Amino acid sequence: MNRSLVASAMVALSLATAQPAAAQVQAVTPAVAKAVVAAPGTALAGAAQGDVTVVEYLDYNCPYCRKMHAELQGLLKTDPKARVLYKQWPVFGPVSTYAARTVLAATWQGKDLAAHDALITSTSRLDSQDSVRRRLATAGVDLARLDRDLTAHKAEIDALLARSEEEAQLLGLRGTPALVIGSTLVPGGLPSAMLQRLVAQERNESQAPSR
Amino acid sequence: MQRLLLLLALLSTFLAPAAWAAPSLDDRFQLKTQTLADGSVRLDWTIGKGAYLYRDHVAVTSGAPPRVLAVSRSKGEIKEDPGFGTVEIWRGQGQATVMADVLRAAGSPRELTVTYQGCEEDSICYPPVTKTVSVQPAADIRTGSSPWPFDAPVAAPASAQPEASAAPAAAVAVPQIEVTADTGLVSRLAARGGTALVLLAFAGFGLLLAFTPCVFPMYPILAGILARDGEQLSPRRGLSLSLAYVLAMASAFALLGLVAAWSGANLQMVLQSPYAIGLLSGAFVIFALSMFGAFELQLPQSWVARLSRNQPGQARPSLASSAALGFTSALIVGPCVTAPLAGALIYIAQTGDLALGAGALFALGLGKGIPLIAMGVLGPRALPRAGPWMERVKQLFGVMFLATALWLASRVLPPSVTLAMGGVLLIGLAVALGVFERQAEGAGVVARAAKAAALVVGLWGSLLLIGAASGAESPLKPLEALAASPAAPSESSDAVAFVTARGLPALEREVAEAVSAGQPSLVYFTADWCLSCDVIERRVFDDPGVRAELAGVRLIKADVTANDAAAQAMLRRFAAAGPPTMVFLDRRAAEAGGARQVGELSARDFLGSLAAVQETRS
Repeated sequence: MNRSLVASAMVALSLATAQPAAAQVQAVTPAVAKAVVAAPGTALAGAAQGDVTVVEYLDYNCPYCRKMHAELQGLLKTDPKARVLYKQWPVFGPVSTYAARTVLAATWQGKDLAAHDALITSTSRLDSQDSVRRRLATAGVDLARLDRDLTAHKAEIDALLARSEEEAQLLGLRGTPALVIGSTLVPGGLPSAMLQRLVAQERNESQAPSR
Repeated sequence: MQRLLLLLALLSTFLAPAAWAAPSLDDRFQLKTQTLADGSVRLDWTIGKGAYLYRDHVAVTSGAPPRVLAVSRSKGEIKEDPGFGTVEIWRGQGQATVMADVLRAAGSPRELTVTYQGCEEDSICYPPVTKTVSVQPAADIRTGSSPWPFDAPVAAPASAQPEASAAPAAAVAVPQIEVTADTGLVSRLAARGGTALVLLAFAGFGLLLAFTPCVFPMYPILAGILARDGEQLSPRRGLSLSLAYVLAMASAFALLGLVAAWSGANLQMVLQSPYAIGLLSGAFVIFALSMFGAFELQLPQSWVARLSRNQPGQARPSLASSAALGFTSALIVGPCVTAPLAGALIYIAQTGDLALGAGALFALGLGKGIPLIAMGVLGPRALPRAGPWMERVKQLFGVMFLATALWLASRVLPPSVTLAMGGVLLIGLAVALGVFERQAEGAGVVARAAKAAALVVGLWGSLLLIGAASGAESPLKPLEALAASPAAPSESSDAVAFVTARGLPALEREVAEAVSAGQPSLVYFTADWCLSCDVIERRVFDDPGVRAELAGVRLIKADVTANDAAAQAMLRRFAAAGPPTMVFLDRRAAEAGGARQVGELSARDFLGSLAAVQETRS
């Protein structure tokens, strides 16, 4: 526990120098950490049998979420046992909400991660439903199927969005992106190297039998 | 009296400024509204360092269904983003204006809904903030008058997005804390009728406060002044003395209001400091000595001369000394009326309106003084003619002043020291009552009864001294420590098991865990420097009846000692003015209506509030 505090403090310190206005790294109780990753309802990026899960709350029109994508890819490349769970928390209005719904709806055709990657790597603002659909089409998402799933699974999609929102509130998140790595909450983006350190620390923690 | 206190506690929650809202971003983006002379409304944002607002995301609507109003926005900075192209942003500050003709075309709304959104550079993007601001109708604008900006409830992020808000709240995995949604009484009054109503409401509130035990110390003080005036006290003189006293007291409150409006800080926090209490306590000892005839308490001769020029030949307790006492009295009762006062101060601090702040608290002080003035006028008629007994009365007031000094000091002194000093005081009182004076032959029943009373007082004083020496703490059970069996004390030394939260996330997590465990929870705002909290801990949490009821309740201390952003976030989240505040949440994390406790309270009040959340456990 002490080790984790020290590591968290280090991250907080480097974050504070990098982003003076960012809120501090905070601790998450085990119960909440578990609840957040339980029954995700969508595919996870990274290792199929990963041991540490990074949860990201994001919006597809948030510039720092797009930057964060590269950092997360960096983590997945270097760490074969890490996983990322994307949580849709649209805060940039109706188009962002639509984008979030399409990514969740793509789960039923097994394209949710592809849809996510397509939208998060967009090089322009997603300013209309059409621009969202164009991006999705390039990623090979079947748009007709997508529309059917958006209607057929509306309740499930609503529930997932409501859950993210509730979690954001519970965690006291102030905006996107936000990361939960095991028992650590990072409000805001952070570089890949820092991310790797937090994941390694979480791994040590969960493997140590006594806390 | 209990019922009255309950009513007051209720009223004080009405004064709490806002209902629960999404994490407020007021620390990053501060919005001020101003109605200009031509009737247009100007919105000014002060933007924290490192943050920015999207210029194009600023929107103003009015009415239901919302109608978008045209705004002119100040120029922004062009930001190049590889992923987004160019966006125009505001750093430091931004300004938007809704023109008068636009407002007129929209039917001159009294409220506008303002939405804005921003990010922290290289870090995080916030959900949109929605605020409702009041508009002063053009006719009401007096030249030089301050604007009337107060915060109305902020909408949760989802409600700003039609699609998300349409989602049913199905499969809610985690709870949402509901703070009782009292719309601020004052804001409603202000929206309806303006300044006069606010002042009237505060005066009425003051009048209510005058009947709390908190204000009781003021009666003997004023009575002491009147008594010193001796037999020459005419109703007119009584009126002027009590009026001077009350006006000064109201001025002291007005000063508090002024400073609160100016600083935005919770002054009660300062008034809770041991130094302030020590100072006041000392002042009371000096008043008491004056009552015992050690010296005449007077302002410098030159002041007295100036003040008495209008009324030659009157050298008795001057209006000035009466006023001086009134002024200090306001500070004395301050700690006791923390609850309503803090609510008022917080509200005023939010408006930032100096004149209104001072005026409202002045009205509060006046209201509080009305019964005192009545006493000043009617009192002397009720009093029999002067005689040697007047000296006795003065001495009694002296003792009361000493008791007040002790009561104030008890907040900072160890309980056994307080007890010992109480014992000394009682013995002194017994002596003053003439316990050692020879009883005259054939004394009447009254004289004998007085002697007996003096003996009882002296005896109880001795018991308090013995109790203090044996480590007792309660003035009502001074021999408790001697009577207790050796095994018993360990039980009372158990601290009640609170978990401590020092930030909003931690606090909300604890509440969430209580909900998942199906428990009601108590969120108790406290701080190391909060002396009332010490009193509560002794009076409430050490009470065996309370301890028995606390089983099965999640006890969460929200520690606001640091008074930093994290502490403020917790206070804002629960719409609490400051410590001590107790918020009672049922097992679904909804606050029980009228259960909130602000300020010091008795074990009975506490149990009453606790019952409100336990009854829902069926």
